[in-house]
Amino acid sequence: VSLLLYAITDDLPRLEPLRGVGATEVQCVTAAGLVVLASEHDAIPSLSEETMWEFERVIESVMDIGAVLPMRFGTLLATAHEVQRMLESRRGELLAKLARVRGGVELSVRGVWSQAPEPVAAESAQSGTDYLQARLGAQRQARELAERVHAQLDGFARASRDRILTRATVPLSAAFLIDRGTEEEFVRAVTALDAGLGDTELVCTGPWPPYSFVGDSVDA
Amino acid sequence: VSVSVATRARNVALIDLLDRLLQGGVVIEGDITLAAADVDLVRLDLRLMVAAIDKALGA
Repeated sequence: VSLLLYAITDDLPRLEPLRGVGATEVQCVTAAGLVVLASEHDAIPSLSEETMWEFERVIESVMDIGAVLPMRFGTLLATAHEVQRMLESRRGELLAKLARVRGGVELSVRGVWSQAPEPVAAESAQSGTDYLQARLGAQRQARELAERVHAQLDGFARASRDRILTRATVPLSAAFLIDRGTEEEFVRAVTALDAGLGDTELVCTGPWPPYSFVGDSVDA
Repeated sequence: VSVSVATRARNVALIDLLDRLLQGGVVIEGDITLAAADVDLVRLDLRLMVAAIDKALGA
């Protein structure tokens, strides 16, 4: 039996008894002033819509109480002792990350095209050159969209992250770390921005735990 | 133009959650017991799920 890790926090959360992935009991492992929420599993749970939301719900219940660092889905450690060793060895880094996201929530802003710029959508390109030119055109449009989105929204956010053209019809997947309590203001800005974007639709979801702002490459 | 501001609208938010669970979050280097077979399984699940989301969104 191993431990599936959900999130790290520095407040011992006063939580209702929680059920995690597969209705397993969620337990707290503490060390070095940090707390990890975990549940016991024989193997990494398979990814499904249900397990994803079960995982997310555990993190959200902590996020409502204090600062939280969500874990990458599928992180298993063999024993509570290993979890404690990890907390001790990475304490400084984890505390710095908690400080960065404290009081903040993540909002997702996704750009969606109703269809991919031709002929990227299908393998219908007449030649490799056509394909390449369409691909470059899509990248240029996606980068222009990203610039417009950031010009309008960066002022509302502590930090932001981008991924360009993750799929043929998704030119932009952006994440914004905003102060908790400013969600409505942010959404109004997204709505105003969306109104001027023609065929590109913006889809805003959240508030999420700060998944996009706790990675190793995050700059302060 | 249409605005979709979804807060916890599950089918709309699913792809944003998927992206975050698999590419965001704290990574513990070297300690994750992700066997190669598991990774393939996750990728398979992922393809099926993305196809289902496309269908749901009419994309």
